[in-house]
Parts: sequence; structure tokens; C-alpha cells
Amino acid sequence: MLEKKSFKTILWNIFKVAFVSLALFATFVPTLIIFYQSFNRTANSIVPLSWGGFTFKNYVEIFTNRRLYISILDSLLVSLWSTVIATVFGVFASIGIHALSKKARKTMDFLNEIPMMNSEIVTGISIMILFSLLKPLFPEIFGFTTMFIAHVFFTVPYVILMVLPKLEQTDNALYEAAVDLGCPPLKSLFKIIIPSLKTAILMGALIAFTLSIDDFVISFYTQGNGFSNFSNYVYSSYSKKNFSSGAYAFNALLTFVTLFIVFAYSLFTNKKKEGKK
Amino acid sequence: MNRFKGFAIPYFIWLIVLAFLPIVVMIAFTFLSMNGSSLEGASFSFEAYNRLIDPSIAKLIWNSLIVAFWTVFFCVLIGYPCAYFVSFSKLKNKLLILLLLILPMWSNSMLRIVSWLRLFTSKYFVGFNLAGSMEAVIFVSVTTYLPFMIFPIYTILEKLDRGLIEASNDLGVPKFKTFLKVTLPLSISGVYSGIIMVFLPAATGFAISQTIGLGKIRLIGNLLQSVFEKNNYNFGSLISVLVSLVITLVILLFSKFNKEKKPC
Repeated sequence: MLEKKSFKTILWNIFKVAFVSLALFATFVPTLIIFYQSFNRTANSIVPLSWGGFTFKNYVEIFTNRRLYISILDSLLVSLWSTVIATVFGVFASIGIHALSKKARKTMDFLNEIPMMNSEIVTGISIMILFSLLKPLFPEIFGFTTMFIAHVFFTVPYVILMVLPKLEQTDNALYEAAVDLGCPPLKSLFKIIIPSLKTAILMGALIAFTLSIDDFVISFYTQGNGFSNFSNYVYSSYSKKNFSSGAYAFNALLTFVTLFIVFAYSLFTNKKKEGKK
Repeated sequence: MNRFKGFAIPYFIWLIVLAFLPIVVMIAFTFLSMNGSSLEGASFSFEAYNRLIDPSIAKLIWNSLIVAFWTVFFCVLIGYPCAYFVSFSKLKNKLLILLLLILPMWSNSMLRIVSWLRLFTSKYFVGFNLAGSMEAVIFVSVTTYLPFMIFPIYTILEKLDRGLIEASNDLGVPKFKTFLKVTLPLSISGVYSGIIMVFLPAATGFAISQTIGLGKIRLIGNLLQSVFEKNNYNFGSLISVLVSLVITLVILLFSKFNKEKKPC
């Protein structure tokens, strides 16, 4: 009886491991193909996926294919700026929302949910329509300006989502004590409240950057005048059949770098912990 | 802290201009007959509404809902057990598994879709005719959006008080019944947020259906894209408003269902 039960548990455990690994594997397939293609000599051609020999040529192409590297630079430019601005904007908006009365707060919460609950495509179209009305006045507005505003627009709610709950947990007494002791309110805000939100702000910024750099749909509608981003480069060049395999290489490189940073960071924090022991 | 109320004002104006105003403009556009987005020579008409009668549009909406439904269905079916197994495992390195889950998301989503297409059209899969089929579109949607389902469920499961499950087990309730009566009801809100996060992009996206479907699978997102490409701002606005309405309706229905089902 006992043996039979343990046999059943073993089977169950095997099933669990197999299930999770299979699901993980399915999400991993595209990443593996990207790695494979980044070293593949025939990655670029129209012939079906096949191994044409090992090469670093694709990595060189990141810097030699003008359209590709310009789209990469555009992507980074928009994402970095929109992350910085969205984070600052989101933190101050959170502080403001936190101070609101209950009724005003409800309206704000509702409005703040619009960008998150609306589908990306409608968000993209909304912003495109709004700016196309301004086109007669500013003919050059499409491009960096529109994409930047759109990215700030759809990432700020996520920053607020991270910062606001943390703000609610922070002790107001500390801030009030500082004010009572004669510290000006704005200075107390910067010296006490904002430092206590450090992790939440960092998380918010990280989410904002991740969403922004990977965005396709909203950028699709707000690109223009030769300004685009990496996702849209992949989409348009793939359908126009002038896709550069450097895109695989760039993506693989980015993953390698991120992995390296994560491992270095975890090693560093582990050592720190051991040192403390 | 109340003196900082003013900090909310810029964001309020920002939201009014960028979230609320476009809706008004779009609704106004649906009643106009015009050339592109320019208001010169625009006149009042029901032209856009007349085009809506076309049965192919109802079919597109239906197709989108079907794709989104199956995507959500498979994401729950695969995502819940994954989150459950990882959360309840005795592994020391749960974080490592989570990291493995995020890793594919570091790759660009468009490039991942293109990679699937390359695989489907390769010689290993040539007999299946996957590219251009509805099944392939659903499959790629599931693998793309699965992490969005696993994360909210996992977070809720991690916060769940394990004492409740132990108490139920100690009182002699069978394990499966404990899961149905304790674990599942307490984690269902994670499933709900996961469903919304998967449903929205799956129903309205156009990249997957365009690329994997080889343009043969047309969803509402593809219609919107082609309508705006042809500068049909009035009809496009009408479809956008319609999509927002359907989504709001689905979410409202869902949150009502959510409230009714909430334990205690």
C-alpha cells in the first residue's frame, strides 16, 4: 500500500515537471530560433529555415545595415526618454492622487484605467487621430514627438500602479515630523517620501522601459517622417522582404547582455549576503 | 500631505487631452464624410454606419472573439497548473524558474512572431500547412501571452495563506476537494486579471494574424489597420469606438461575474 502510494506520487511529480517544462519550452522556441538564426549564414534568405553554416556576419550587420541601426537607435531614444519622463510624471501624479479626496480619487482612478484597459490598437489610433488634427499646423509632428508622447501616455499608469500602493503604506508621521521641525514641505517630500518609494519607483521604471522597448501596435500608429522603432522595422521589412538578419543578432546580443547583468547582479548580492553573515 | 493635491492636476489634464478627448473626436468623426483626417469640406453623413451593415464585419468581430476565446482558454488551462506547480513546489530556486519565464519576453515580440513563421514554413513542418491557419494563429497567441496569465496567478498563489490548506487537509477533506473549495476560490482573482491581460491583446492585435495567418486570417485589428491605411478616418473611427464598446462590455460583464462569484 505504502509503495503503491509513493509510486503514484513519483508519477505525479514527473507529470508536474514535464508539464511546466513543456510550457516553458513552448515559450522558449522563438528565442532559440532567434539565437540559431543569429549565427546562421542563410538567416536572411527566403529559403526555409535551414543551417547554412556558422557566421558572425549577422552581428556585423547590426552596424552596417543603416535602416536597422537607425531603427535601433530610434527605439532606444524613445524608450529611454519616455521611461525617464513617465517615471517622474508617474511619481508626482501618484503623490497628487494620494492627496485627493475620495470622490476626486475615484474619477482619477477611472481615467487612469483608460490607457490600461483600452486595447493598444485603439490607444494608438486615438493618439494618431488627435495629432493628425494638428498636422496642418505642425506638418512634421509625426515621428519622435508623437511616439514619445504615446509611450509616456501608456506607461505612466503602470508607474502609478507600482508607486501608489507603496505610497499608501508609507508613514505620514515621518513627513509631518519633518515639517513640524521646520523643514519646508517640498524639501521634506524629496528627503523623506521619495526615498521611501525607491524600490517601487525602480520597478515602475523597469516595467515602463520593458513595455516601451517592446511596443509594436502603438508605435505603428505614431511613427512617421522616417522615425520608427525596432518592432516596426521587423514588421515592415519582413513584409517587404528586405529584412536584415542583423535583427536576430541584435536581439540575441541584447538577451546575452541582460542575462549577464542579471547573473552578475545575483552573484554580487549573494556575496554581499555572505559577507554580512 | 494634502498640500500636494495640485500634483494631480497636470496628470488630470494630460488624461483628459489624451484619453478622453480622442474618444469625443472619434465619435464626431463617425458622423462625418471627409477626406482623410482634414476637416476641410467635411460634411455630415451616415456613410460610415451604412458600411457597418456589411456582414463581413460581423464575421471579423466574431473571428476575433473566437481567437481571443481559445487563446484565453488555453492560457488558463496551461497557465494555472504552471503557476500552481511552481508555487507549491519545494524547490529552493523558484525565482530561477520565474526568470526562465521572463526570459522569452526579453526578445522582441515581433521578432518572436517572425521566428514562429520561419519554423512553420520550414521543411520540418511543411506537411502540416500551419502558416495561414487559424490554429497556428491561436497557438502563437497562446505562447506569446502565456506569461501574462502565469504572473498574476503566481503572485496571488504566493500570497495565499498555506495554513488554510493545511487546516482543510487536517480536517480530512480530500486533496482535490481542498483545491476546489479553498485554493481555487482564493486565487480566482489572479485568473481574472490574467484573462483580461490576455484577452485584450489577443482580440485586438493584428501582428500575429497578419504574419502567421499570411494575411488569410482577418481579425478586427487587420480591418482597422487596412481602413486607416486607406485614409478612411470616419469608418475607422466607428470601428475603433465599436471595439472599445465591445471590450468595455466584456470587462463589465466579467467584473460583475467576478463579484458574484467572490467567496464570502
